[in-house]
Amino acid sequence: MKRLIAFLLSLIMTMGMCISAYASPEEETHIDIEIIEDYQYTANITSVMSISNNTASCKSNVRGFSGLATKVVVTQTLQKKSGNSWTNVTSWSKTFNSWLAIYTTTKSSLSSGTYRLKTVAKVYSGNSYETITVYSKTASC
Amino acid sequence: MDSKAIIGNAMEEVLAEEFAEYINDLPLYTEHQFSERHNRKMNKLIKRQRKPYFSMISTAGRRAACVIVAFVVLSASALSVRAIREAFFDFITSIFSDHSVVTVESGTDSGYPETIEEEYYISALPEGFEKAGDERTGNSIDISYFRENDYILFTQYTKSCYEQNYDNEYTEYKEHIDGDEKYLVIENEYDTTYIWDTGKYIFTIQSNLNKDSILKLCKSTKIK
Repeated sequence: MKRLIAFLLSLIMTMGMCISAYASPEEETHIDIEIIEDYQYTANITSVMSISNNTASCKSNVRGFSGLATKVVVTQTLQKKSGNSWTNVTSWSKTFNSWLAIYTTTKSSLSSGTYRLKTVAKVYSGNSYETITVYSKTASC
Repeated sequence: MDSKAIIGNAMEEVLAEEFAEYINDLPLYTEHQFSERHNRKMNKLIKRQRKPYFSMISTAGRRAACVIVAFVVLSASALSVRAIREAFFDFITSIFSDHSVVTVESGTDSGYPETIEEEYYISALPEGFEKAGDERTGNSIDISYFRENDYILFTQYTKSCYEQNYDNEYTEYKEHIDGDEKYLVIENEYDTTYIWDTGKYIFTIQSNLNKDSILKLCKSTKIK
């Protein structure tokens, strides 16, 4: 039995080493695939929301690479937590013909609950674009 | 025949008769009553035996080996979490395959307001720059200045809302210490962003000016 346990442990440790050795190139391959889709034209993106007096102030700040991005389409969706999922409360959208898009909106008369702001940005470079989705931290009222 | 043999024969005759009687009296067909504990164990064992993996866990040693295997596999899984976290001063950078998320270290919350109570501004704005945008929520202010192709983007965040997503392929992350102030510097081909934490708010200045000029802007921020 001791021999069996020792054998199993040595097998697992050997396999673990193989996994570690394999993980690095696999991760690099993964990066190569994803870079094509995301953050090729986008330098940074932020989704911020605050709630005061049952009114949500929502802000999406999307900054493309200034010499590369040409247009940004921002879609904001205010979401409310419902059990373990999120339901959409309202949405806004705006197009900015620039590498910089700062979009602020408000929503009043919120019912009590926990909310977050979902920002979906389509960042264009000529006719090509990438779509990036980010969420704000949650806020409650 | 000697005396020992005579006694032996006599004993054999007597005992054989008594032994035969004893054997006949034995309740050979009485059903044995197993204890309840024993029955439970047996049932458990029979149920386990029906499992396809019984041969792997049939002894205590094998069960222990399985627990060790499960532990090692779970530990290995925990190591394969996607994001790598790096700390730059108070900032935590979670590095994903195509972007990094910059947040502020939690657990140092004292002194950080939940809303913008004191608004800051750049007191040494270079000549020719004009305010192009001023967007604010209760917990953040974004002000942009432009001078032809040059720009300065100034933001002030509360700590609780601060979370920025940055590209990490074309972008370099550095640290810069200037006197008592520590900056996280995010640099790409087009511009540089300085991020710092004053203990009350998180500030960022992003600009395509040279780094010395941006640092001067950072140091010139004052309460309005």
